[in-house]
Amino acid sequence: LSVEWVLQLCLFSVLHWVLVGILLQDLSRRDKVLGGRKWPWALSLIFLIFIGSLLYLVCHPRIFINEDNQD
Amino acid sequence: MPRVRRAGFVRAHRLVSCPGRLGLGDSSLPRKNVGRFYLLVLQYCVCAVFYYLGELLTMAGWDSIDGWLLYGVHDFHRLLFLVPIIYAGYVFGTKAVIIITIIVINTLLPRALFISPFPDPLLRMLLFIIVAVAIGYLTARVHRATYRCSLLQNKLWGGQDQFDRVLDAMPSGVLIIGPDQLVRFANKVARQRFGEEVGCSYDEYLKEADIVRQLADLPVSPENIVQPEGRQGDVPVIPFTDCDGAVCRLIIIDVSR
Repeated sequence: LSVEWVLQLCLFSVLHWVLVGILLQDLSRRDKVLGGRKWPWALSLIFLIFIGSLLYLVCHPRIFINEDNQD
Repeated sequence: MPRVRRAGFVRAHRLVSCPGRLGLGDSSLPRKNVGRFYLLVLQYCVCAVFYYLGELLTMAGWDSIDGWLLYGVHDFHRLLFLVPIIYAGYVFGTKAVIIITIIVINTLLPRALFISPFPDPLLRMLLFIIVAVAIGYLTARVHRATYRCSLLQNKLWGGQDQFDRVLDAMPSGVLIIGPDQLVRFANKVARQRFGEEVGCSYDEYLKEADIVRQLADLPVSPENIVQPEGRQGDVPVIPFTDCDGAVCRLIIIDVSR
């Protein structure tokens, strides 16, 4: 692996884990998720890079909405 | 006579829950917010498809389509991603800006790393992201501040309406005179006695009553007011700060005499 590849991998993984961290935090706070179980969502967030995050966001829009925005 | 309100004051959104409900995993989410969310998703999808349109057409075998728009430098295409980022900031706030920005970076990276033949693709992408995040964040902050301000204005106007109702219920005539010497408010008794004119000067308003003589020239005090009977000093004049910050005078006139 060249240095350039390592840097690219680092950049991808940082972005991935930041996004996964935000989404996992949201997942842990939820009482109810699509499908009823949380663990498949957690696995898909971690292992389906980017796709899992997009799917989770599309299915759970509440993460975008702060309490102040619920006008 | 309704109180004269400043032109810049706008009624804020009401905090009313929306009856319609939607959302896949968020069944309790208001319909309006879900609509906004899926509009954001649509914006992102359109931008992403446009960003990779040349590659998609090539994959589909439509090689006859050519042009700088599809295969040239994608700086313009990248700019379109500002739309979902700013929209997310305006509608949903800072957290949404961060999430959308990470998704946009993930979308832009493959071209920057593997496709673009032009110089410094990663640097140009990073510069765009920095600018986009800054704009999105500022949009979110400004919108949040505006929203809070409008909520406070609502509370303020509610308090003012309550105060006006109390003044209306008083048996004496009550006038609120602004620093520009115009009558801002007259309660029910004063309106019945002196008329319904809005925003006229107080001496015009009270000309029938012949009650105020020297308010314009002298400092505010009950001693500067002359009653019709010639008595001085028993008309209370109270300094009063109105909701727009103007220092006014609240005059209580006993009209029963």
